[in-house]
Amino acid sequence: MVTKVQRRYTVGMYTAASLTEQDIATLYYEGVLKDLYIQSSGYINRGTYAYPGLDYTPEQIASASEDHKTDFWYNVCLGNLAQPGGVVIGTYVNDYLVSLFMGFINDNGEYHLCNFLMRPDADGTRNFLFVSEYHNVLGEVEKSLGATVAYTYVDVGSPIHDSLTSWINYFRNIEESNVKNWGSMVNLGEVTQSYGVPEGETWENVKDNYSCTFEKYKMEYY
Amino acid sequence: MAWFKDTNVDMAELASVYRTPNQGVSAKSNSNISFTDYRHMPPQANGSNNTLGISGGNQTLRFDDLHDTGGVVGGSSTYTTGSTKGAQTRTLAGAFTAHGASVVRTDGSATSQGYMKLGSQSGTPDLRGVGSFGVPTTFSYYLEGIGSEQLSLGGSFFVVVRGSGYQASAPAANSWSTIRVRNLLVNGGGFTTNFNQSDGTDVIGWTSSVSGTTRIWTAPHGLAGVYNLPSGWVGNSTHSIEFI
Repeated sequence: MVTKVQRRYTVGMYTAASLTEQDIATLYYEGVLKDLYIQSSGYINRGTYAYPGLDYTPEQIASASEDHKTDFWYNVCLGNLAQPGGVVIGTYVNDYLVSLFMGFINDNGEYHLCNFLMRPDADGTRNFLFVSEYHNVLGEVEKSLGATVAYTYVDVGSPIHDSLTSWINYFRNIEESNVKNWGSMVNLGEVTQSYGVPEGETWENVKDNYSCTFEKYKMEYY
Repeated sequence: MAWFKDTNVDMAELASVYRTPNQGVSAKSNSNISFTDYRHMPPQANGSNNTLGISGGNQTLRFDDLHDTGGVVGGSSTYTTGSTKGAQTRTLAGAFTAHGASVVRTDGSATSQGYMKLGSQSGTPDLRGVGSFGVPTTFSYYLEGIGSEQLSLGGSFFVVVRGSGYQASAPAANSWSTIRVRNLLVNGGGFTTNFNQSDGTDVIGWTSSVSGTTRIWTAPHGLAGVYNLPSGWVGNSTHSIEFI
């Protein structure tokens, strides 16, 4: 039996959709990705994002323009899509893109959320972050793509830890929040991942081998 | 035909090279062609860089705007240092034949990507008759790659041209002086950017090397590059290009 994958869910004013490489290219060329980066930079660069693996000095990284860093995130999106099970999910409020979620879903149904970019909605607010329908449509797309359990990787010291705690406390007792089981979310502690360029290759300005430590969360779906 | 001549352009050639506006995705019949429908597509319009945006509007187009232009559809190949949050990504974007890709990829893999024409067309994988490379009597020059590599906060642009045939040799380093690239956006409009081989004074600009009968031009972009960004260059989308 073949189950049709639904790549787009809409409830009321909230939509989530699985994006293609062409979708990402359009967002890049039309400046949407740059706006997402700029609006997210307070979370990304608040002393917690070190651009892991780059062989630049902190001064060189600090001198990189918003355009350079937008290109970096464009490349991250493409890298996510290229890996096995890679997904980039966009969320919309009244058809206005507010977030990109980048990760992959492996054959065991484990959704590994690695990075996300976010901006306010067209009205300039982030109120959608505390709306059940917003998280429900996102969860529906994740499940339709094969996710049965979700893992989230967060930089040590990132302000996102506080955001996750807020969502857990807010949604765990709200009946309408019925796709992602926020009450099940737990911090599994620190994990260290190792990376390396393919053997025999040299990548300019990228370290041959490096490792990163993140905090890992786990969450069930209803 | 996939590349405009530099004289006597006609409507049949327009339908053959640029196909159906605005991105040339589908074929176009020689009949019922409206010249102004193509105003979004050439790198230049009325003799200057084409600035026609998404909102449309009137734009005078001359037949000589089409001279020595053609289209490419970029694809992309991406490699990462691993999975999950800390992975770094290396992306080759643009249109490359198998041979063109093999001379620029770090793993040497002969894997073609994109199309050296507009749309997904059959025919030779390279682009023949591209202007400015000269017309040798016993062999031809083939454009086999145009695109960029994006690493982290920078990368390189590439142009790959091969001489093929009896007594073939690589093209001269100064075979072109300017490449005009127009990004043809999905919803119409676009933007044109000029890339000059003379760009760069305090930093390294365009350099080239020869491998057999192939010349590979490269220029760095990003933090230490002669170009700030790759966004105006040929990437993983649809473009019209012109060699001067």
